Amino acid sequence: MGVLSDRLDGMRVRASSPDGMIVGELRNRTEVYLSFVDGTYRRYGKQALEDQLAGLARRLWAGRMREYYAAVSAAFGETIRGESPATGQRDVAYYAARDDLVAEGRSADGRVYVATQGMRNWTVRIADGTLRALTEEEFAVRVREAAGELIRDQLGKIRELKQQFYD
Amino acid sequence: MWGIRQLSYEQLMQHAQEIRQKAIQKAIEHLGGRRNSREYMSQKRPEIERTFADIPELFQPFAEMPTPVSFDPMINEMRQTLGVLSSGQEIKDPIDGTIYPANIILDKLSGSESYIEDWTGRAAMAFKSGFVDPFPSIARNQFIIAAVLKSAMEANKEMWATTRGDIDQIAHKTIEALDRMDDCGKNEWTITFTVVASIAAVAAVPVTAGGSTALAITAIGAASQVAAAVGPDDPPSNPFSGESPESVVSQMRQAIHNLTQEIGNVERKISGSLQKTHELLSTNRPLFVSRRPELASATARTIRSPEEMGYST
Repeated sequence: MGVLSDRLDGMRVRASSPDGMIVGELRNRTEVYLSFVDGTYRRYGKQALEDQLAGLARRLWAGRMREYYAAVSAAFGETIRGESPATGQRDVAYYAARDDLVAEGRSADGRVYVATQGMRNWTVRIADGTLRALTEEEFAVRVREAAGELIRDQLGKIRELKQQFYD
Repeated sequence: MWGIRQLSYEQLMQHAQEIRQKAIQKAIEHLGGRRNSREYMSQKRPEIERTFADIPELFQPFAEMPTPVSFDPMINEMRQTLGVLSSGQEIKDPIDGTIYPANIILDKLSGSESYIEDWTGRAAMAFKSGFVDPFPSIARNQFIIAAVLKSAMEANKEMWATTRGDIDQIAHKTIEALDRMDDCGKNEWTITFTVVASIAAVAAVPVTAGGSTALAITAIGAASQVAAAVGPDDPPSNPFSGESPESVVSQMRQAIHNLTQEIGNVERKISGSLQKTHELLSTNRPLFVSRRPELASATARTIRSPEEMGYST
């Protein structure tokens, strides 16, 4: 295995929601572990929790990309802080298509739905009655399922986009 | 070197196999759902394997490169030669600056003058003008040539040492690029061919030519050792990119091709310097080797003639 592969496998990224009450950790590339500060889970209304989780997702992915570039720098032996500008028509077309790319994930029971456009704009939808029906731990598992599916969907679609524009 | 895991040159062929296997695995993953069809894969898999079959043989010549330490016995031999040729006139290697203590045996020839003061005749005059007088310059010129030869061997050693690092770098970055291509960002990387900067020229090492003329030699040495380098070329940093296993491996082939060319360029610089030195030696032989004494062809009948031993008072 290569350096990058090892680093991405072992990567742990933590971020908190904008209100600081929810902490998320990304492990093993696609697994998101959620925890609420001091039982705040029960105090959230559906809409407020959706907004906080969308904010958390944005921060978590930003942290993931920082770690990703640190891993790329270690793997290639030079400091790489971000993507280089497009150098041709293919790059321009790929970057544009990637910004429009919609990825989504849903929990096995369908109660939690997560979607993103270009990994920048995030949407979280929680089915009515979910917060009453699920414990904090059960809810965290549903979020993990939905988030994992979203990340796999994103990477699968990226692979298709690259084949479309670069092959 | 590179990242957490350092590839070592000794494992180069293992890495070549790793690249081949990873490329095949990634190419199969890129087939998407089609890879689940046994019928489709029965044709596609051998096709993919053929696409990457050449990878080990591309690395094979680099696994068989000369060992840098194999140059050490020859370099050490030239060091001993420099020690022997070090006269009071020239005790510093003009290329790497090493000081060689003067060999006092060389002083004996110039010192012989007082012993032959009473020797007269043509042979005596020829011996003084042809051997005693130019001896210090000839010893100095030979010292310079020995230094040029030693530095060329050191350049060769450095060339192979840096090439090991470069081919290792190509293998390593290809493995990383194969892992990176499926992530969101553009998959690009650079390869720096350090072999290009492994040698440096030391311009115009002057050879005593007598009178006002002086001949100059451009020596090539290992960049890490030369004292007054003109400065090695900056190693070029070449950009590569690829978003599929086929294109990443194709970039790897290009990098290996470029490296092979750079090695050729470095070798040509070293051999070019040696050829010029050889030409200079051939056309100016009296500057480096004393003329054969006529005494060497003397016979019992001629030895006492004025052209040979001459007279002694």
